[in-house]
Amino acid sequence: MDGIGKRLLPECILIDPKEREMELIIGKMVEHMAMVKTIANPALVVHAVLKREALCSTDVGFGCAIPHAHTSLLDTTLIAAARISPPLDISETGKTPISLIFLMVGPEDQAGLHLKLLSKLARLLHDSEFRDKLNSARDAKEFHKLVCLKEG
Amino acid sequence: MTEPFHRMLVYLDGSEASVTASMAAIVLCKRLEAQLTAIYVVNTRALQDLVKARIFLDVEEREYRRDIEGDADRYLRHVQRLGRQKGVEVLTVKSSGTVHTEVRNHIMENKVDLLVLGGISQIHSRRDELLSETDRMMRTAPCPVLVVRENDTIWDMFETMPDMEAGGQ
Repeated sequence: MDGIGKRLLPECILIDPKEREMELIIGKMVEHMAMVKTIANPALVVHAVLKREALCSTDVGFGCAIPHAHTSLLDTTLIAAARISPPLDISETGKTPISLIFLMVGPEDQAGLHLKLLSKLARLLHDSEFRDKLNSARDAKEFHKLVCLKEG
Repeated sequence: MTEPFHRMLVYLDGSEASVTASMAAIVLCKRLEAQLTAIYVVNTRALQDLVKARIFLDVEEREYRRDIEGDADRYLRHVQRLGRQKGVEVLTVKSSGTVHTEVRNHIMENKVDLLVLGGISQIHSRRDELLSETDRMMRTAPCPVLVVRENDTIWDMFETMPDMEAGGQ
């Protein structure tokens, strides 16, 4: 089945990156995507994601954010993830600081797939035990394995 | 002896598994001389859930809905073409709402006697089961259900069935 585990490559999982700003972390995630998949203009992809984030943060609570964008710059849907420790305290008052970021970018003609993947991501991240496991993952490989196992 | 199934319904969601299921349904309908309908449900519940979870803005919900409706038309036309290629008329239905409810309603209103589905996901918990649309459809359908696993046999069956379209391949 075409799911999150297939779209999220271990090379695109950042474990505790040194960047401490959302914009820089998203930039780094797209940079990693561009290392494993051809992205004609990574800077424009970052711009599309940040433009969307500027409208309204995709901080969904529970210490998770799911920034996303669809753009004609891509021909396939890609997912990257970042585990941030210590968590980023950049969200609205009262919300848990962000420790898990899942970035999804893809072409405009895959709306159905995006809907499925975003719904599934939101569902998986709702599970506190799963979030705890991701937050304790030793490395990108283990993080990826946890996502694949949870997804089934 | 009468044929066991007369009205089949195949559920399409744009996945490869659902297209494979459509091919299997076309082969079956051809053999059993049954009527085939393909249904695509725009999952407005999932869209609304993403708005509630603040993953989508209202404007994105509208954009995605429009795009998914476009996907629905494209996939339904594709299955219609596949059917025409094999001499099977495929009726199409585009609907919106909660997927398993829409499919169930269509089955009851149209006396469908076989629902054909693509892959079923692995279930780890009761919660997974409740949230997977395909699984809910399988469990709540008021008629027999055929689950088509993705494999080459279906493609071979479809490809080896003679084409009906003039000049078709």
